[in-house]
Amino acid sequence: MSKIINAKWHLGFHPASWWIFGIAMASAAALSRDLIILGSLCFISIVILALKKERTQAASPTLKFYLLVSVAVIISRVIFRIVFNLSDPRQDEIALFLPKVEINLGFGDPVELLGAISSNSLSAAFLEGIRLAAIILGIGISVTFANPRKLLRSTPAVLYEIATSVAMAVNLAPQIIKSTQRIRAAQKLRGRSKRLGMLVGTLIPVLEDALDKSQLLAASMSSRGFGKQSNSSKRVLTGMLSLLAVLFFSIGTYLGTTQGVSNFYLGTVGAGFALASLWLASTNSKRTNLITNSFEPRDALLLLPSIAIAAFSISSQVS
Amino acid sequence: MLKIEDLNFGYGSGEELVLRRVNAVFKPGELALLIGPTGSGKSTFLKIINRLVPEFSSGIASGSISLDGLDLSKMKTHAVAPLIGYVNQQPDSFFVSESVVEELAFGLEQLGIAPNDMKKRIHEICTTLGIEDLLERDLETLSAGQAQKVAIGAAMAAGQKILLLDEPTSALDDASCSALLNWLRDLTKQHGITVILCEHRFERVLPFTDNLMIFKGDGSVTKTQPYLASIVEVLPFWRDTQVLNDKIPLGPIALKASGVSVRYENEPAVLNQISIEIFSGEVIAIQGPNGSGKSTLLMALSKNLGLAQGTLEQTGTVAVVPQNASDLLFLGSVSAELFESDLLANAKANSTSNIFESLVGRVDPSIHPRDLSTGQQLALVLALQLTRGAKILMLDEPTRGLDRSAKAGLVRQILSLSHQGTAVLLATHDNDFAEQVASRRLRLEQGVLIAESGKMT
Repeated sequence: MSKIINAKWHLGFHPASWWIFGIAMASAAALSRDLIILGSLCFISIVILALKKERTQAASPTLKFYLLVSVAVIISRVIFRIVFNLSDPRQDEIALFLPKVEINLGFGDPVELLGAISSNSLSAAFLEGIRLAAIILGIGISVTFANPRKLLRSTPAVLYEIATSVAMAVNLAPQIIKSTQRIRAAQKLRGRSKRLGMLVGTLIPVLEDALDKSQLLAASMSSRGFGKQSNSSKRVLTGMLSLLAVLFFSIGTYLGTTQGVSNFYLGTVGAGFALASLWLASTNSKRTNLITNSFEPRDALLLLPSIAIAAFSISSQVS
Repeated sequence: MLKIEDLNFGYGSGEELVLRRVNAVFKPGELALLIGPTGSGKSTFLKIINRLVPEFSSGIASGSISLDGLDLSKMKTHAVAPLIGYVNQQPDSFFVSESVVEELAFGLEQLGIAPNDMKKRIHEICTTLGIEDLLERDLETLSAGQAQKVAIGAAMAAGQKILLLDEPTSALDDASCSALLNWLRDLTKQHGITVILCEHRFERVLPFTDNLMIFKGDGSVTKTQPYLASIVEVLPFWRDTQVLNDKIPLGPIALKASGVSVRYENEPAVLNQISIEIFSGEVIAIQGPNGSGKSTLLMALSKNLGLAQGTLEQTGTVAVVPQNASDLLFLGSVSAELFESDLLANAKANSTSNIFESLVGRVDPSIHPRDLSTGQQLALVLALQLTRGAKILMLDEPTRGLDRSAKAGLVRQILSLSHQGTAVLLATHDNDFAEQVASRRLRLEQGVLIAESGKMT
């Protein structure tokens, strides 16, 4: 009995700490336009991802996955800029001369593709690519170290329904990594060479497998009683309240951006509806938690850097 | 009382019904055993009771299912869950958490049980199943037998009235199996819980069962008491203990391993300095308790485990059929898998499909491999791997989910390969099967290999 209670369930950091850290890294990347800052954010993320230990594998497939995605993002961003060349090359130094292609779609102005590309334009595309990669790597840290399903466990009851859908969506990346490993292992065991139709042979089974596994997870959770337990009239009311909240927020934002009127009352009413719907949703949940994760002193090791990163990126934004 | 009336299930018009006009009543405290050939609808029947079918699958079910007057046939799976616990045939692919304790708590948490009661309940279940030591373990590190126990514990943690178990003992050694069955019997007799389980290797289960449901394979089902079942009805599924593999001439060494060890950080060695010589034409059965390292040994000897230490010499190609055989299937239809296999092995057209049919008979080739029964999936993977013409074949629990005739087919295949000089290494809990095919039986305990019978190394 005492053994169960005293069991070490808090190995590592609180899942929320990982999420705060990952989101801080990602938002710092989103706000920054400095190559050095973005580069170092990427570097830090890669080092942290490399720490993820896989029990049976020498090289971390997780790191490999995120590196691949990052490189793909940067390359595709640059290629897009070269193809859909929107810059005005007259003012800048030209880096690349390509024949201009005009495509007449039959309506409007003809679309211009390729053409002379300025070096400014190229470096801007590269920077945007790196920024996206840094955001992906940052969130990658959270997903890798704090299993989204684990976060679900420590989510307050009021946010449970939203958190469930978010957790399921975020779970796709780790699932794709797992499915890729599974399919590759299967191909190896069956003696299939790597040359044989890379795309059809790996990509499609991987995606299919990832979807299958998500479906299996849903079925399994359902068979263990996971699901909406509320009565339907309450559910309709909750839904209507959240819809009203969104409506008021949207009108408020619209007026704020188009007419420069900051509308305090609309915002307050919207927030009121939001709180009411959350409160109503929380009264429905009768779920309990065996393991209530609590923040521990060591979580400061993640939370303090997160605050520092956030503070630094906001201050550089202001100045 | 669980009452099933006029239950029909099929995958759509034109297709034959999988279940046809099934009627059955399960009383509180009853332990019922479902038997029948591979693909006869046993697993589907269990899934219909807890509504996984048709909520998470294709197909149409009709008829009524009621529990103590409550109509289940219109309810969703999650609503049925507090009343009915379910354990899938492949428990490890059905886990929802990361660690054992989280998995055991999941169902209780959904029901809103207070944390202190939850701890008590988990403690009780751990003691009965003997899994206290596993509590903090990562689910991915469990052996198949350990995973089976955790899944059963998790399914019934909330004190369900009905417990549905799909092949619960196929991955268990004899000791764990009888412990589990004794515990299930107590559960039914003392707490009035109804247990419905299906099992191919039912010799061990039969003495514990009150009622037998026989799935004939044509959609019809009869329910009877074990001692009333006519011999003719049960015989087709009965075991066959004839020893078939006494004398097989041994060829040259096919695989030589020395000092093979596998050790994960901060844990005792899974395999400890294993040395073995395997000769061509030899059939070796490796047995041992759950979690003793049998699967790890096969993966290490086939060079599919990066962390293994020691030296390995192989004289030919190795083909492996892992415990989760369906892991090797990744194409969209049975015919695509069969075609790909012929192509990869440079074999004549239909060579794979001939082996497949010799094991489980004809199966609609356009069907998706995931819709095959577990036994059929295993047969398909066996066929794929046998076609490759490997000199060394390693099979991990190859009889899970196979009915008697498929098992006999597998025995024939193994023996004919062995006569052609293929070395076969198999890990199994199935004593009768090991007795039938093995020329040498070894026992693995705590990572050490002990010769048990037959020729000594």
